[in-house]
Amino acid sequence: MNRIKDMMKIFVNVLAGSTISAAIYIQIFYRDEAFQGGELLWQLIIAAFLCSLCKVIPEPKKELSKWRLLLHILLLYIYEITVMLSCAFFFKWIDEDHISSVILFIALVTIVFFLIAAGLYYAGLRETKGLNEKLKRYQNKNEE
Amino acid sequence: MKIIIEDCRADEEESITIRSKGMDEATLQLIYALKTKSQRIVGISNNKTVMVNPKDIYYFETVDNRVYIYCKENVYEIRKKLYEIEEEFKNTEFYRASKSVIINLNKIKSLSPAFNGRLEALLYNGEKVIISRQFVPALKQKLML
Repeated sequence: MNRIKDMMKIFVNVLAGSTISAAIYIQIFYRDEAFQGGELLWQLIIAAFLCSLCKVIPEPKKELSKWRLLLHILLLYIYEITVMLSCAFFFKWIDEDHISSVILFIALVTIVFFLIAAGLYYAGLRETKGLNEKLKRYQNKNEE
Repeated sequence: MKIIIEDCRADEEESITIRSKGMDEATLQLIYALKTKSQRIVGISNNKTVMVNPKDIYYFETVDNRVYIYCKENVYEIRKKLYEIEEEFKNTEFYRASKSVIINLNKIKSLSPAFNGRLEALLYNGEKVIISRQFVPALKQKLML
């Protein structure tokens, strides 16, 4: 159940992030062309779904060290970049001949990835703030 | 609460019976107090047996199938399995934080988020212990006052 929840979270986050990125990208590279949005939206949903599949891979049961965790994040990042670039080439979102469009695309995916990571970290911070308050109350009660 | 003290025969084992309408928090605290006030845990350090007060324990950890007691400065080995300790300290301030650690909630200075839904507990002795994601809901439940 947790895995499905995580997949849904990533799906929604990637969908929101890629939609905003697509808007920026279209604004820069396809400013003068008529926007054919219907197909693109479905393509974004497919890309977000493929990104969320990273949660299907079972996580290591053992506790990971800090470095192994960083490696885990790096592998996740490589997976997401590979999925998004593959989608970009397959759905012809980017012009392969223009290296600048490829670089901008990678930059946007990177920004979205780290924004999502920062958002999740911030949500965790808020949660632990509440837990710390409860912990203090628990400790005070035990001292009484 | 009525307290009844009865004499027992010399060959009988001394016992305490609690007659309660339900296991409310006060009853659980009373049981815990009875269990821990006299309870000492046997730890081994440098081939010497040491009696450790549970209140001084920061956490228990399994390393290579051996269980260790971590106090503020000292570490002792204990000849018990982690699940036995978990059972023994059920409904006390001890909490299973991961597959290999049981932590004393009173020794946690603060909690902070770690990657992937895990938490990092900073203890009062400066050590950091990871709380596994699967054990976080139990912590939340335990801290519900």
